[in-house]
Amino acid sequence: MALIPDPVYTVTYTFQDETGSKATTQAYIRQGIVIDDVIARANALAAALRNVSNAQLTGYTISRGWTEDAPAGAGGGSRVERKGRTIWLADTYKTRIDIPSIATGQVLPDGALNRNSVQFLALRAVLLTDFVGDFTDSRGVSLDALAAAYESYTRTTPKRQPTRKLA
Amino acid sequence: MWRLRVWFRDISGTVSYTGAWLRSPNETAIFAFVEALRALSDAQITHVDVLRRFPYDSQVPSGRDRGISVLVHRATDNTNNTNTELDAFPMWVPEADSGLARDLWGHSVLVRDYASRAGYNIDNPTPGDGEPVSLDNEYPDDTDDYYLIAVRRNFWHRLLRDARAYNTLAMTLPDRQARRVRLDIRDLFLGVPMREVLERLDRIIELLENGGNANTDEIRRLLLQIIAALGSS
Repeated sequence: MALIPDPVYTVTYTFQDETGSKATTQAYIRQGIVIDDVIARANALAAALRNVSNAQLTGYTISRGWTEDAPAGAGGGSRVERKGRTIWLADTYKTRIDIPSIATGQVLPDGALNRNSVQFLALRAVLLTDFVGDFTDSRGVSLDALAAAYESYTRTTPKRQPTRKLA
Repeated sequence: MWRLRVWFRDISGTVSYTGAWLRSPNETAIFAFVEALRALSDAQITHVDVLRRFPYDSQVPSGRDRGISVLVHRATDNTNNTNTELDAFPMWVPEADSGLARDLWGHSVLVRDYASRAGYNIDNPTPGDGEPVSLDNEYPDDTDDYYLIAVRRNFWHRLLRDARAYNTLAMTLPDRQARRVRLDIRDLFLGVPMREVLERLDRIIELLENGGNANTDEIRRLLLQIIAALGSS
């Protein structure tokens, strides 16, 4: 059971023509080079694409993925709608990280998550102390404290439901 | 900021993900985060991705005829540098004509470290050595590093002309590229009543793949049927 990296970074360019219609095209950059070089190559290709297209190049997205080679299998009774909702502070602003199908052993009788469990302390350490400056809110401000942790439920969109539907 | 997403699937098969923001795609931090989540959830983690959007300051759009150029570039073995062809990489460029698009991959600096989706090399095409091929009057041969295909979707007469050349190009390409071009054609014509065309194209490709002893009369007959079908659409 390991996360296997995709062989490439995927760069998705978005275009918009005179009528407002949008289109995308993709290019791939080999893994194994530092991210600054990936950005530089994506930007170089953006300049070339802009020159060959009459449409407006509105931007590009760089993505990288990893896939589990042997997923362990979901636990019995697991439901992703049952979330462990954690709220983190970044210089007084709040940002949320949900944990799908929070293990029932992590939930206290009053609905709060057990903040002193080994597993929760490990998550807290990753976000706050082990990689200082890496994890941020959407503005880029580092996470600095835990504000809340509790069980919550959310709906599932039809697209994410399994294909099997029971009568 | 980079958006990290960790994807889960529960026992019912329902999918969900959770996200976090990252200053940089630090793999060590990502893996530590994933392991922490794995210990807290009883759903299975299926995959992880990280992405970031970069806005780009480009020119005002000045076209709307939906012209598209498609570059099909050969991709080679990058592990032992044998130059063995293992894959093909098609790239669609909206609102571009073939004259401009043929310059896209011809610059060695630009193509350095670019790869096909499966991760094979598409670098080192020497500019001028193996000219890109447009649909109108040029055909690839064994020395070509990459191929250029121009397609216009909105005008039937152009579609007729381009489809004819596109099909011809598919016939002249090596098997691997031919299959990729065939898939491109399928994508291109989705939503258009082109079933007959696709069926005949499949037959053509099949004929070409059968040991290289294609029956040229049969191919010509099928192509004429395709052209007739295009003209009557």
